[in-house]
Amino acid sequence: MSTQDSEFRSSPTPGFFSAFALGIFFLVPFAIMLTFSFYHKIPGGLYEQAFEIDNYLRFFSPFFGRILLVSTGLCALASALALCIGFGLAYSISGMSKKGRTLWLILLVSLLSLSEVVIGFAWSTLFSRTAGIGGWLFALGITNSPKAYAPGFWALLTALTFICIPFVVLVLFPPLTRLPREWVEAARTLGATPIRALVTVVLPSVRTALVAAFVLSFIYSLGSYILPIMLGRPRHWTLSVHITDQALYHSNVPFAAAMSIFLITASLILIAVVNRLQSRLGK
Amino acid sequence: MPRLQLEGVNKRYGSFQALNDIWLDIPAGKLLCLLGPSGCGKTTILRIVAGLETTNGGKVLLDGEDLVALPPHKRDIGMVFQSHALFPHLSVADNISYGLRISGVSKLEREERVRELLNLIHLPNAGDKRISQLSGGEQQRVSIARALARRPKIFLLDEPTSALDANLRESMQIELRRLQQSLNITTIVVTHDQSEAMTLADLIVVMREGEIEQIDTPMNIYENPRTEFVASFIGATNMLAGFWHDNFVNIGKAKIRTNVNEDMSLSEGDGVKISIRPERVELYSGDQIESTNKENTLLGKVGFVRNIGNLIEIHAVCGSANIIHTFSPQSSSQIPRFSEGDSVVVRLPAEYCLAYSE
Repeated sequence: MSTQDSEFRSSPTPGFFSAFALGIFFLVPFAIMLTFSFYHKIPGGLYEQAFEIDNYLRFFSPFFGRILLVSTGLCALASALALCIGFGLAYSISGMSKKGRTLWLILLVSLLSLSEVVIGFAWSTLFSRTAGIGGWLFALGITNSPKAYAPGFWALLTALTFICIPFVVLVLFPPLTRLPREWVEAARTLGATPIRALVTVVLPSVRTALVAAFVLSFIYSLGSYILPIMLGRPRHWTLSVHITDQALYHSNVPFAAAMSIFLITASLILIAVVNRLQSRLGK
Repeated sequence: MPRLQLEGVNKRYGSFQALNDIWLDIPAGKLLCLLGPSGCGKTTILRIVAGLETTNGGKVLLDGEDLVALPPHKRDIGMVFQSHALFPHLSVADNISYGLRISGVSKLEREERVRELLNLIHLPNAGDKRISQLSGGEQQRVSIARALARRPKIFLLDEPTSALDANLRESMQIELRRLQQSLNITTIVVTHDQSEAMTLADLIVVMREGEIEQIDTPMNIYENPRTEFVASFIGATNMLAGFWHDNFVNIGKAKIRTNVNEDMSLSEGDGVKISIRPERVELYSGDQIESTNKENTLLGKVGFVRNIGNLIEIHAVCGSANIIHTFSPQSSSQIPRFSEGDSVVVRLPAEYCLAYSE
């Protein structure tokens, strides 16, 4: 390590900045939310200072159980689909020329820059009775009448998968690019078909990135708010929608805060478990 | 035993002709080295045989059966890659048994074969190790064992020792040659290292710009290089420029009789190059001039002398030509009596002077 490096590392500035950023942008809001989650709701939209765990006890109700099941199930399914599609896309892009790679990556990054509202409108138009897929299928004679596919479970699943794909590709692209093509070639000369080589050599070699991409997609889709409202029915709403619903429309800020704490804690636990798993796999 | 033939193989990358009408016949059980500078097409040949590249015409015949349409996994070949290409997520034993597992060989048979191969590569206790725990030489051996596990008909090695350091490289070359001879497997090795080719090969193919310059045994390639390129690529040589006159090559005032290639036609005044190996050059001191056979001699001065232990190298400057003479002293009394500036007579024995038209 050079003298300059060691001076930089021993300097308190970077550590202080990280601690400051973590405090301001995470710990303080988390602490406020945690405090509110123990408050008591007063009928009529207000709340008062208290220390009660009623809001947390509601997690064990069938209502919350169903929300949790729908949210995690839907997001896990969308993440799994995004992982399958995104892996195929990232693997294809990694085998392209430099120009091809750059074009695809620009396209994916530009998708990330789109607002969830725009994406939601685009999909709701595509799934509409007249302008989208429903109209096309009718025009082609595949269906007897134009049919709307949104709102509905499949429309929401499609849109959630769509918004997760760029994340998956961007996480998987670097390790796939670094993966020596000779590994696949070696597997081929040892008798493996292209699919077998992919399953036995490529996938295990990027398993850490695959897990990271899945977790990232899962947490990102779990936080999605606009798409479930625009493309799903109330029974498909995710936890984020219910948090907003409780806070804004039912004026139950303490319960919304408790659900937020649950969401954050669950995400952190998931990340910790995955990290642990990855370090075990890496040994 | 399998015999491999390439008939009129061509390969183009866009407008670049990587291989041009390649014909090869590799006898069963022999080791053939593809030797040439970077970009000459030697690795392309190997990859075409493995099925990792397509051809633009020509046949690849294994015992008479054309392999061109077959994908790599159906070709029954074993290949060792330059970077070893071992799978880091698998143990040494799992790497070796990878091909066997793919082929559906039972666990018991796989374990037995892995044990056998680990003994063959002198790593009997390395089965449970991770690839990252092995040295470069050990990784090389594991990649050889992995390629041989399925008992392939053809064994291909792409620059097998280029990733190893100099000492290890030499011992690996000897080990590899012994292994190939004991298994008696038809083998192709790609290398740009001429000493590796000389150590390993039954036959050497010297390549240049997608074409074959010469196919021959290592000794014939060294002693009778067919072209100027082969002469200068294989081993050290003195390359002297002159012109053809009256059945001699004239270099300055000297007239040099040469060993002219039969299929070379030369006319009066044609530019000619003479190649002679440094160890074939004879050197005499100035006072020996009268007693020396003056045929094929040039007069010069010693320009440089160096003793590199097993070899003594003397550079004689004869007009514009710098002629190198080397010899291995048998004892300290044979340390040269020449020093820089001494007048010398350089004799080029006609039987070792190979002429090439310019």
